[in-house]
Formats: sequence, C-alpha cells, structure tokens
Amino acid sequence: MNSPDPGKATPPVTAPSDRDRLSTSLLGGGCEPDPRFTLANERTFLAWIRTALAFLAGGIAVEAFTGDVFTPGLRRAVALSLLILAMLVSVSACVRWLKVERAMRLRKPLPLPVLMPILSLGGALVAAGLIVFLIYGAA
Amino acid sequence: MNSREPRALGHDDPGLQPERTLLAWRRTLMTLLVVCTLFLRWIPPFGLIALLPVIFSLTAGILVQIGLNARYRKSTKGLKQERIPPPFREVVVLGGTVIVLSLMGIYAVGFG
Repeated sequence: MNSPDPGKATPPVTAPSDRDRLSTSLLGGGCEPDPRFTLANERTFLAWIRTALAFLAGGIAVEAFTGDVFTPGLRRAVALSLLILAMLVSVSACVRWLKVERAMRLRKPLPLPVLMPILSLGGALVAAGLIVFLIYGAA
Repeated sequence: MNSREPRALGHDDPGLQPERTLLAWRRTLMTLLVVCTLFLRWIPPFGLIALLPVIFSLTAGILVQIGLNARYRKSTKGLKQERIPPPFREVVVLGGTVIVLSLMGIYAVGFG
C-alpha cells in the first residue's frame, strides 16, 4: 500500500448525513479515509475471496476426482472440511472488509484478521490427515 | 480494460491503484468462472441440479463484471476528489455468491 501524501493527510470530514442511508447505517460517522486505502481494502477483500474460491475449488475437486483414491468416508470428510473453510473465509472476508472500512473512518487501529490462525490450523490439519492417510491408509 | 478508459478518465496516482484494483476484480471473476466450471463435474453423481451453482455463479459474475467499468470510473474520479464510495454492492454480491456456493457444496456433500 502506498503511503498517503503528507499534504493530503487530513481528508475532509464527512458528516454521516452526507452519505446514503446504507453507508450511514453500516459505516457510522468519522472522516473519509484516503481513497488509496479504500482501494487497498477492496483488493485485500478480493484476495481473501480468491483464497475462499481456492478452498471451494479444492472441495469440489476432491469430491469429483478422488473416488478411486480415498475411501468414501475420508473423501467426504476432506471435501466437507475444505468447503467449510471456504465458507468461513468468505464470511470473514466480508466482515473484515466492513470492519476495516469502519476503523479507517474512525481513525482506529485496524482489526486483526481473526480467521488467520483458524485458517492455518485448518489447512495444516487437512494436510496432516492426508499425509497420514497416504502413508498408512494405502498400505 | 476498455481502451477509452484511461483517456476518458486519467488520474495522477503513480501507484496505479485503480488499474490494480480493476485487475484484482478481473482475476477474482476469472477464478469464480473456473470454480463454477468445476461444478459441472458434479453432474454425473448429483444430476442436473449441479447446474444450479453454475448458473448462480455465472449470473453473479456477469452482474459484477457489468459494474466494473463504472467502479473504475468512480475510482479514478474519487482519487481526484480524495473520496471513493465503498463498493457495498459488489462486496455483497461477490461475498454472498461465494458463501452460497460453499453452502450448496456443503449440503450436496454432507446431505446429498
């Protein structure tokens, strides 16, 4: 993300009444943030959505292509895990986008990505389960 | 990108943020397209009902795609005015689409 121009460090204060109804109810008050930060937040949201789509593709592919590799129970468990992770990541992406928008307007610290540890743990567990299956399950 | 966009609405942002954001949307929509074609592989086990997520995601993708040029114009204009409206509609449509697709997948695999 680019640093804002020091000369533009104080954006115009916008009263909530200047915004449309949806923006007012969801964003509340505060100042308009630097537009570059709004765009950066948008791109971060999109990066999370692509992550969710990757999990979704993984879940669909496991269910569709691994019939000869996994037992039906394991296949279903892996596919469900990936699909649930996809849903969690996409919900979190939307919520985080909104929280960051609010924090930027209220000049508050940005919220931590709560899902990051869950995502790492979930991905690691699915991978570890598959490694165990490949070593011991196929034997 | 539409060839007349930079001429019609230039900006002086050396970080090229509107272009990067537009390309991020395009990448995401292409990923959505790939994912929705993967659902076609579910037609043999689940039947024609597997076309539902394909049609759903294609419709959402087209809706977002239609709004992208307008979003680009808003971004370039907003950079000059130091104010860009947050993309509520696009975030709700795209985020909602991925959530609904995940739920359809969970239902199909878990209960189908």
